[in-house]
Amino acid sequence: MHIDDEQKLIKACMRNDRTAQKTLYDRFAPFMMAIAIRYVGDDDTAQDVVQEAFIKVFSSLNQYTAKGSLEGWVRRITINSALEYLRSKNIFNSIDDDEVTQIPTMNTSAIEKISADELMDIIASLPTGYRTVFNMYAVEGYSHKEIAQIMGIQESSSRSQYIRAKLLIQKKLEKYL
Amino acid sequence: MDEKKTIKTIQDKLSQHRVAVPDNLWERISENMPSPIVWYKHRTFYGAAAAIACIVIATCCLYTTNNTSIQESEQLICTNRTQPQDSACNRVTCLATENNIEENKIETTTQSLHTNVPKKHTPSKTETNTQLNTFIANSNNNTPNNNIKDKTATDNVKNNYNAQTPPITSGDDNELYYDDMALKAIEEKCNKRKGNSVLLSFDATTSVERKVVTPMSFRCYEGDLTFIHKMPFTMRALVEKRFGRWGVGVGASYTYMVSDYELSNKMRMGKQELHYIGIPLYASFEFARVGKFAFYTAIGGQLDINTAGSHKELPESCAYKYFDEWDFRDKKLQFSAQLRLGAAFEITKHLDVFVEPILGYYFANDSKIHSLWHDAPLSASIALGIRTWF
Repeated sequence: MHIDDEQKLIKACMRNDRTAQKTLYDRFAPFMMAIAIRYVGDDDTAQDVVQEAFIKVFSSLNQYTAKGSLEGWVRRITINSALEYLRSKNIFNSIDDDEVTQIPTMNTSAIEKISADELMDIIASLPTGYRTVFNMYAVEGYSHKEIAQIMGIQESSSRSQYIRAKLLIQKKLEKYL
Repeated sequence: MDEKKTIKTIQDKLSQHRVAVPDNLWERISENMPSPIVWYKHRTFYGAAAAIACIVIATCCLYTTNNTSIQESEQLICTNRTQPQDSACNRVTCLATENNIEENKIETTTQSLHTNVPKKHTPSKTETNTQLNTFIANSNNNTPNNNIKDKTATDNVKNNYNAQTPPITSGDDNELYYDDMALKAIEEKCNKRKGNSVLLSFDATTSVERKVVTPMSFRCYEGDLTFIHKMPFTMRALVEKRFGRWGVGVGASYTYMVSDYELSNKMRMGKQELHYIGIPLYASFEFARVGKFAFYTAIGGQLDINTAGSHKELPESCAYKYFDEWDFRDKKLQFSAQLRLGAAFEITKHLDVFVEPILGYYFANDSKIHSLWHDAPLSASIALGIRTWF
């Protein structure tokens, strides 16, 4: 979409133009759904997260500064909505920080072989703590320090959760080799 | 190395990944959508309010000046002295003169009062005061002459019934004498703009946008806190007592500031709003007057009191879910010194429009709030406004 068109679309959405809002929804809903499933693990909960995220998007469009891309902005809101949901379930409180001595390496060739849907299924099947840390570190690119701050856990916990996630993923990837 | 490659592969694979959404999701979302909210662009809103206020004041001033005042009558007198041709104003002067001294048929259509009426008698101070008081009392009760036949002249008199001429007295030698001191008194009264007067001005001020980066540490985080202070907007109303070219003034001001803040790791992103009420105090000096332009300078200080403030976390901020929005108030008083250089242009006799570049220095007050004045104490701004006299 051209930048001018995007600006027009945003302005129309801010005027509460339902057609424009539906256009924005059609454009971003599948993308947001993919993020939500990756974080919360199941479709029904992901729909709730996407619904919450869209309401935030539409009610906060006046705060979108157009410094970054609209997609990046929407992505961040979706992730925050997902994290908010997980926090509301007190999932992060149960994360332990037992040290993991084994440092696994994921098989890159196996990841290349599988489809995005299969990779999504593998990530979605991880326990919530592992999944959240893995998503934030490997997919979104947060540092463990930042993940620790966002989730309210120790930095070492974030590291151990990530290692455990890698171990589990590696096990699941073996099926595809 | 393998780790980085694996992560890159995962990111690439998922970056374009989309999942089909159920058909009823949009219905669910649209049902839960909040009602439309009107978001005022604050600067635009206050700017428009200031512009409307200026227009209303200007209209009131113009309306009140439609009735000829004593200042205008003085101009008529002054015009008579230099251009005594048969203008409407000259007729008024003549009629008023006839009214004052009916027994003397004075012809004043071709010469000025000064040339027409020779000076002979200089009254004593007591005489002058008595004459002056009588004259001013008469001038307040002056009505058009009922015996005037000429309709145009009558209308002129009606329209300019405040028009005055200084008393012209008849001496022992049957000559007419013009009271120079009374004229001077009128001149002083009319010349408020140059003499003592009270000046009332309204203006709107704005400054430049500033970006300030502050290194900070918070718990285990070391990073930069960036504040982008948007153009602040100030509205002022000032009352100034003029003593010739000098003046002292006091007033009230309202300042609205908006800033965007951001931590370098995007953990915190949001908008800060501050509202201040200020009390300016200053002394001014008019150093030049060229045609309809007046140039002046003013130096003074201002006390600003924070009345309200708020932080609104942006939805993309990681802290959005914890903070969202909260209000605060900075109890520290903000003192500043200001130097203004102004140029005013006379639109009408009672209304000037002016522009003032302002250089201000805001003194440190140990406030924890990152305002523009806190982060950039030396500021340059520009004010636009109108002023009037009474």
